Amino acid sequence: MLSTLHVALTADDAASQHGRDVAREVGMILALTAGAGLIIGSRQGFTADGITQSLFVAIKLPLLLLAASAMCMTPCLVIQACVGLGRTRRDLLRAILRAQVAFSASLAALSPLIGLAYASGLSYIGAHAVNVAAFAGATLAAQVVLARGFRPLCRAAPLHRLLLATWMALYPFVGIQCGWMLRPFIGQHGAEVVFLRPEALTNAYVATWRLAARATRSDPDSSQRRER
Amino acid sequence: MKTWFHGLDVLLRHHRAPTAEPGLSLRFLLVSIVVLGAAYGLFMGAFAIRIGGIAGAPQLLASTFKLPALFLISGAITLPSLYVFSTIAGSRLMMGDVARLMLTTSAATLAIAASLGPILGFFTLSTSSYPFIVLLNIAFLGLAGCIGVTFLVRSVARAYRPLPGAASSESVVAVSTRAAANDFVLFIWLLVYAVVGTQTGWLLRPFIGAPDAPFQIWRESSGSFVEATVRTLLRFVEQGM
Repeated sequence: MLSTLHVALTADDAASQHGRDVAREVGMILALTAGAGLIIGSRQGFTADGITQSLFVAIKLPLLLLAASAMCMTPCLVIQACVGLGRTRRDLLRAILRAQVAFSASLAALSPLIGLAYASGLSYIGAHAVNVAAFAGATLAAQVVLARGFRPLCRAAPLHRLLLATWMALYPFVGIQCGWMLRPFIGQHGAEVVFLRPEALTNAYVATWRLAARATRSDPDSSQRRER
Repeated sequence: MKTWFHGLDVLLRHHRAPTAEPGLSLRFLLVSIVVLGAAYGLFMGAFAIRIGGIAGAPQLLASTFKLPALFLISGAITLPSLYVFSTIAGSRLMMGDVARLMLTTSAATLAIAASLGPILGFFTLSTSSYPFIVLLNIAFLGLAGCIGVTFLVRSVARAYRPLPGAASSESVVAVSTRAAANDFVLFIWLLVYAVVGTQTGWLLRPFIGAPDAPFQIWRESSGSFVEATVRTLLRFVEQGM
């Protein structure tokens, strides 16, 4: 397992045993994100609610990755065929899979820090901030590995940059919405533990925009500036 | 079904000139456009079901038929001009070949759009914001259209290559002049196709179904696609809806 992880993170194709690696890499993504999820959901500690929340997040985090990847993979493969790069399909899939491994491994590696932050009695907002930072770090690691995987493809055919741009635009766009629908991940003390919030079927971007619009409208300084 | 998928794979991966791909008959291309267009149209019209329940079913059905019709009508309108002007510019393609080329491009564009359909369906499940869904559809069809264009450009470029043996009789200057003329014709035609496509879409609306309007097969033809897109964007920005 560790050698497969090393191959995925370093894009060491010489050491790769492609067919077996794919199955191992998928298994690794599921295991690492589930493990990270157990810790991310553990803010309420070793109580019945805390254990339930941890288990829920251990299920939801791999589901988020799988759902977002599955939805974004098809258009990327179709576009790849359309622009005449169908021969590098295997390499594209490999690059994306390895980026997912990097994300999962980074998040799992950062999850003990999240656990420590929870044990230090961080507030709900503080816990959110720590998780956002961990997700940002894991995302950055994934982007580095993805760029590394695409480098030889872009050297061979610059049109691969279009595929890279498509993935980097679509995946976060869909992933953010998946994450929004699968809330809650952290859990609040005293709040009922639920798998999904009642308002799961809402749009992250519309909700964020409305929040921002309301915040600027209710800001007294901005309304005074408008009057002047 | 398996044969159809194989044909679709051939269509997307093999960028030969239309005359060199006998397996891709006009019938196959028309069926592909209808099936792929209906698939994306289904996801477009699903918003009406999301908002209005079973009362949105007529809109869902209408969108399933109208989207393939949009591509076929736009293609039919612009086909004569593409054939005439590309022939004048030196293309070797006959009318049937140009028709097949256009249908192949439409099929490739709709394949990309259909592959984005599940993402559209996913967002349809989670939003009641009409402006958001409209803008998302414009973005997805725009992306599919832009990539479909690269498909067309690569196919047309092959059509302008001199036949084996004939090239030696053309001077370098003549070949490069012909290439420049071909590029100019293609560029102008692409602009015309984009305008015709968007305006045909505007005339065939609604595809999504506004929540505050009763179902209609067609709305009265006033305004334009560009004006409506800008209004929708402003509505989304100002009202956050």
